[in-house]
Amino acid sequence: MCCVECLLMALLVSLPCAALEASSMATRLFDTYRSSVYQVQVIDNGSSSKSSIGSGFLLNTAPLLQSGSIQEGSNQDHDHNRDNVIVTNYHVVSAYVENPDEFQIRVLDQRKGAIAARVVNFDVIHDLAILALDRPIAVRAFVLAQALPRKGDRVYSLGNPFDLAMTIIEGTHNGLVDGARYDQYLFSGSLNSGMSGGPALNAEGEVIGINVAKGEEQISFLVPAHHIVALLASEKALEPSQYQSHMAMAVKTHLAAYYDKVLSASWPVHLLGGYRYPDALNDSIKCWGHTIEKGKSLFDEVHRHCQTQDMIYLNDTLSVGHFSYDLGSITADGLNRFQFYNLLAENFSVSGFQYADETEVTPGACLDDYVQVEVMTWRVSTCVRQYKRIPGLYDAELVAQRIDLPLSSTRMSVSVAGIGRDQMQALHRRFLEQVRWEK
Amino acid sequence: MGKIIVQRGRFSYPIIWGEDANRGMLLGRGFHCDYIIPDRFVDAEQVRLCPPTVEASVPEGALCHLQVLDQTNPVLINGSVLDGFSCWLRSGDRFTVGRTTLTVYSPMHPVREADSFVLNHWFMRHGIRTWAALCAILVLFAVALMDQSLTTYETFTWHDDALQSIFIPGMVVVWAAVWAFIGRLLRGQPLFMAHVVFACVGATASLLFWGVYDYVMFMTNLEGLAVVIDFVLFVLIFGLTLGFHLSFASSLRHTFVIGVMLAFGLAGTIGLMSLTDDKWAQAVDHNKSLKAPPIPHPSPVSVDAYISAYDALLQSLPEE
Repeated sequence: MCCVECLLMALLVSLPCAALEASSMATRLFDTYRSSVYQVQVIDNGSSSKSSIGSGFLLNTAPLLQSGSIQEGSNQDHDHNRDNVIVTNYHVVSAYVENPDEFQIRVLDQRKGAIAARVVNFDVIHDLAILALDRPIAVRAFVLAQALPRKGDRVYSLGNPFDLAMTIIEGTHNGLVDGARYDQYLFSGSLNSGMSGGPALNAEGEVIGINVAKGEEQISFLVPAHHIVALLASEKALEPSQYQSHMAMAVKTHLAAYYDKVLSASWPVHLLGGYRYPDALNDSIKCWGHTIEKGKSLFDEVHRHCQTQDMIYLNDTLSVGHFSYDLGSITADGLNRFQFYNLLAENFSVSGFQYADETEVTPGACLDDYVQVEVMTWRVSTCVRQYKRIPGLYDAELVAQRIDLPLSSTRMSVSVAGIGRDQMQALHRRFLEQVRWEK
Repeated sequence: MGKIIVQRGRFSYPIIWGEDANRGMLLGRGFHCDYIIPDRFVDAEQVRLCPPTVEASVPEGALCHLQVLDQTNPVLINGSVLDGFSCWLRSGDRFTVGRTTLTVYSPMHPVREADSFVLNHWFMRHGIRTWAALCAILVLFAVALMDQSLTTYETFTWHDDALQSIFIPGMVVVWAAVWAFIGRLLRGQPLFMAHVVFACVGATASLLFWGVYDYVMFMTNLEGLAVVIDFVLFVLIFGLTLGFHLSFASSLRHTFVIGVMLAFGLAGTIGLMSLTDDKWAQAVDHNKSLKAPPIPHPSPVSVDAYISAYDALLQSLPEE
C-alpha cells in the first residue's frame, strides 16, 4: 500500500515537472529565435495586396561554407553577396515563380517591417526555395543541425498560421515517412496553413527540417534539412527568365529517373482471381484490395488497387507524379450476357485526369483497339494529354478489359500523371504483357 | 334582321343587325362600341360594319360592308392593306385592325366536321377517367420495374427494387400536377387526370424505346448511330408529350409542333452545353463499347502494333 502511494506521488510530481520543462524549452526557443522567423508574402502587383502567405527563416550559411558543404559564391545573389538567406517552401512562392512579372515577394519581420526579396533557387521536387533579401538583416540566424534527429525527439516548429501571429508548436519527431519518394519527416504536431516554410527545431535550436504539409490531426510533415544544403550547393542564382525551364527540367529529370527504376526492375507478381498481376512495383507503391462475393450481387469480383502516396506540387491547381494501377477479375454466372457486358462497360473507365486549367495541359486524345495477348483478347483504350509548360511530359491513362469469355473477365487500368513518351509506351507494354491467365 | 359571326382567335360572337340596320355595328376600343376590341393599337371608333341593304349596288356574295373610321393604323383585308376607306367583305374574309385579326362568317358558312374522338371525354363518358390515370401509372410502374430487374446486377428484391421503380411514376405525377396547375391558371381547367395519363404514356414509351434501343445497339454494334437515335427519340417522345400537355393547359394552336420544337431546342442546348463543357474541362472519355463474344468486332492487333499507334496518338495532340 505504501509503495503504491509512493508511486502515485512520484507520478503526480513528475508529470507537471515534465510539462513545465517542455513548455519552458518552447518559451526559450521562441524568445531566442522569434526575430529570425518571417512571414513570406507573395504580393499581387495589380492589387498591391498579398495573394498568398507562408513562413520563412533566416539561415546562416557560414558554417556550411566553413565545412565545405557549399562553395563560396554558390547560389549567391549577384548584387548582394552575403552569408544569410531566407529558406521557405516552393509552394509558398510558386505563384511568383510562375509569373515573376505579376507578383513580387516580401518578407515581414516581427515588427512588420517589410523587405523585398526574390527567388534565387528552388527545388520543386522537395518543395524548397531560397530567397535573397534586398538588404542585409542583422539578427541571429538559424544553423542546420549536424546530427539526424531520433524518433521520439521533441521538435519545435515555428510559423505564422492563418496570418494570426507567430507561433511555436511542440511535437514529436517520428522519422522518415515509409515508402515516400520524396523524403519527409513525420512530425506528430499540428501544423496549419501559413506555417509552411517555417523551421522545425531540435532542443538546441538547430534546424532539423522545414514545415511543409499537414495531414490529419497531429500528423504533419517536414522536409529534412539536408535538402537545403543540396539546394545551396547549386552553381549560381537563377534569373526569373530561367524559372520555368529550371522547374520543367527538374520535374522531367526526377520522373524519368523514377520510371527508369520502375521499368528496369523485375516486377513481383500477385495471384488474384485466377490471374497473375503485377504487385507493388517498389516501396513507394502501396496496395489495397477488396472482394465482392456473390450474395445479393449476381457477380463475384476481386479487386486490387495500388498507388504512390505523394505528388510534386506545381501550383494551386496542378500536381504531377501520381502513379496508380487497378487490377481485378469478375465472374458472373447469374447475369445474362447483355447485363454482364453492360456491367463491364460501366467499369471500363479510370478515375480520369485530375482537373487542370486549359493553360496548363492540352485537350486529351484517346486510342481504342482490340489487342491480342496470348490467348486473351482485350479491349484497350489509352487517353493522353501533354503539359504545355513541360513539353514532352504527359498524363496517360490505360484501361483494358478482357472480352473473349462469356461471363468472366479481368480488368486493368493504369493512370500516370507526368511521364515521358518512351517510358509511357514501355510501361503500358509491360502492363499489357505482364498479366497472365492461370486457367 | 340578319346575322353575321365575328371570330377572334378561338372565340366567335354573333352580330345581329337590329332594327336600325342602317346604323350598322361600331367596332373599336371605346366602351360605347357594339363590339369592343381590347387592343391599344385600335382607335376608340375603328371600323363600322353595315348590312348589305344600305348600298344600292351589292356585289354577289357580299356579307357586309366595312367602313374605316380611323386611319392611324392601316386596316388589312386578308393580309393586304385596304386601299381606300371601305370595302365589301365576304364570308370567311379576315380583316386586321391594330394587332387584332377578326374573321366574318355567314351563319351558313360551311363548317368542318367535328373531330370524332376526344380521349378525355371518352374516359369521362365511361366514368373511367380516374381509373385510366391509375392504370397508366401502374403500367409505367411495371415497365420501370421490368427495366430495373433487367439492368440490375443484384438479386431482385421487391422492397428495394420496387421502391426504386416507384420513383419514376412519382416524378411523373408531380410533373402532371405542375401542368394541371398551369392549366388551372391559363384556362381555368386543371385536367389533372389527362395530364397524368399522357405523362405516363410518354414516360413508358421512353423506357420501352430506350430499353429496346440499348439491346439493339448492343447486338448490332451500330455505335455510330447512337447519338442520332438518342436525339431523335428524345425529340419525338418528349416533344409529343409536351404537345399533349400544352393542348390541355393552354389555348395555343399547333401544340405538337411547339412541343417538338421545344424538345428540339432543349436537346440541342444540352448537346451544345456538353460539347462546350468537355472542351473547357479537357475531359477525355474511353470508348465504352464492350460487346459479348459472339458479336463480331475488328480483328485484334498485337501489343506491338497497339503501342506503335501511340506515335500517331501523341502527334494528334493539339499544338500550343
